[in-house]
Amino acid sequence: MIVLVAFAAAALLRLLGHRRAGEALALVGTVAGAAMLAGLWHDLGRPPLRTLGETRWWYAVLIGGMGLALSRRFAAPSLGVASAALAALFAAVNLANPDAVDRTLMPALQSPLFVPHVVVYILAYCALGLASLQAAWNLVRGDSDAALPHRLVELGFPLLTCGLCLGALWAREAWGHYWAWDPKETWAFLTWSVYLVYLHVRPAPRVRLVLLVVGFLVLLLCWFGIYALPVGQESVHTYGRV
Amino acid sequence: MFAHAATFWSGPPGHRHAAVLVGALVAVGGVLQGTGGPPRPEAAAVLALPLILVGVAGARSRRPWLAWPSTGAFGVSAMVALALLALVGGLVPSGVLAEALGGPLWSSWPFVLTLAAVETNLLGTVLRRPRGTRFVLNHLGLALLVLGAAVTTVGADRAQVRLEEGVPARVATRPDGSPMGLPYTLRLREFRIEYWPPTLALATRDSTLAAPETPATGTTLHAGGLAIEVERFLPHAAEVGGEWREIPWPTAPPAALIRVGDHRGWVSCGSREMAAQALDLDAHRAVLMLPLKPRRFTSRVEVDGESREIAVNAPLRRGGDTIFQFAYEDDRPILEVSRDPGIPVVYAGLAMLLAAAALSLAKGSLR
Repeated sequence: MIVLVAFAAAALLRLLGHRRAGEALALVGTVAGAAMLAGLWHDLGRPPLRTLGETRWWYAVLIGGMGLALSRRFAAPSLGVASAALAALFAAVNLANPDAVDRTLMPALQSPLFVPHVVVYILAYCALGLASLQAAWNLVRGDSDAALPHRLVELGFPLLTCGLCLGALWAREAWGHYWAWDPKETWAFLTWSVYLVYLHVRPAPRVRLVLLVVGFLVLLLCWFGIYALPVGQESVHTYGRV
Repeated sequence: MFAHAATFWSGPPGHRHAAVLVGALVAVGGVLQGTGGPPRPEAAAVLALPLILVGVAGARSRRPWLAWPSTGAFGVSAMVALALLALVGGLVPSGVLAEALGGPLWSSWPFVLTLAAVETNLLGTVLRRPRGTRFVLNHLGLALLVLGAAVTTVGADRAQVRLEEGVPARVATRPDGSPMGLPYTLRLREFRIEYWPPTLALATRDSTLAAPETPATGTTLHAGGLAIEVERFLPHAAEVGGEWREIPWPTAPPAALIRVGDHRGWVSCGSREMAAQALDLDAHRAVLMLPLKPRRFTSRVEVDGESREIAVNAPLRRGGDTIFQFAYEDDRPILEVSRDPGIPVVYAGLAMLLAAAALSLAKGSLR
């Protein structure tokens, strides 16, 4: 609840132009969230990265922290607003739909690559999420400047590539296949392809912004939406069901 | 119309030309698939290899049309085509696709030819204009991945072996039922399954809510707003006349005597030999013990007299074989033997992509 309130207040304050107060609250949200995740890790005796709900908490905390750092680095207040708002949204979703947590971790997940693979992916999702929000914000304002979203993609795409490669190495050790075109893998490839194509084309800035919004929708489908598709039932990448 | 087409093709090659040609390639793949079924490896090689060789050979040519397959425009079209095929695979259930195509999408003619176009572009791009270390690592790494995947598809061999304790095994069985000889003898010495502690849960009409706490004698667990008092917990038990008693068999299921309000009774997840038991609270709710989840399953085997362990995420490598702990059935392990000549190529590609990503992060947008 502290995480939700801190990030929601941070977003609001930054939107109203109170930069320092907003940054302080975003920092409170990030530290409180990190402490909560560390406590959960300790209590469960395993990395809290197994279920969708657990990864959502990581996303809330990491995007809050990343937005705080990048808004200062790029002198872009909009990133501070977007990251705090997204962090608050993810925290709210988790509080509204509490996860059934337990200590179990299936044998396939007991790998040294588990934490790096998932955390790198979440960091990539954070950077690409911010890129898309910034792109959407620019589109709404009629501003076709794609420079800042592009820099965020340049940060997120290598992370996405790392996540994909680490996943392939891990899959080989766990299942014997480095790539099996499982639905989740197929959508991970699709997400990666959208950003790869984005980085290779030079259309009008407005089209680039639209591409980034589409890219994030594909990313969200890969992360959550796939389980609602008929093909989602075929995936072996379902770890949160009781 | 012909005049328009002539004008279109007489101009310098660009994105639109690439889109038309890659689209035509996918269509040719569709026709081949429709008329002759999925590609045999040799047929795919006969068609794809010359395409790749011709495309790569023209990479350094000054003639625009010869160098064109190695340009960004061609690469983007090939990647978009690959992504669109992946989109089909990501939306349509694999069984439906396999029925329509006569085999998996991922080894169909359209997919193989599109991959060939991507490979042509990647190799040609590196030859044509190698712009710095990151560029080469990214494009060559991806080219190696595609090549490795092709080698895996053509040359990989997989088979399963079901081990019985003490019985030597020198043959595994492929998915088509044919035998795969093993150049060593596998002998199972021990198969261990370790389980996570049991979980109690409240089952309703709509959902099953697990209690996060581990049951132990004298503890109180919480699920779905209910307090579940555990009066006795038996790690290994057998049911005799409605009562559960502790027994020293490691394969016997756990059981717990619980109290929820006025309701009191035994719950157990049961086992192959013992039926499960739940405590009914009313017509719509019951407390039950969820089936035990395996924490780790390990095969201790002797390979030509040498004792080794195989577990999930810890395969055994022997010569060119990698032996995986695949599954288990009736408390006996099923191992999978994999011979994949594509692995070194794929690993080289992954290493190059990881190195390129690390370089991008080090020199990227934050600087």
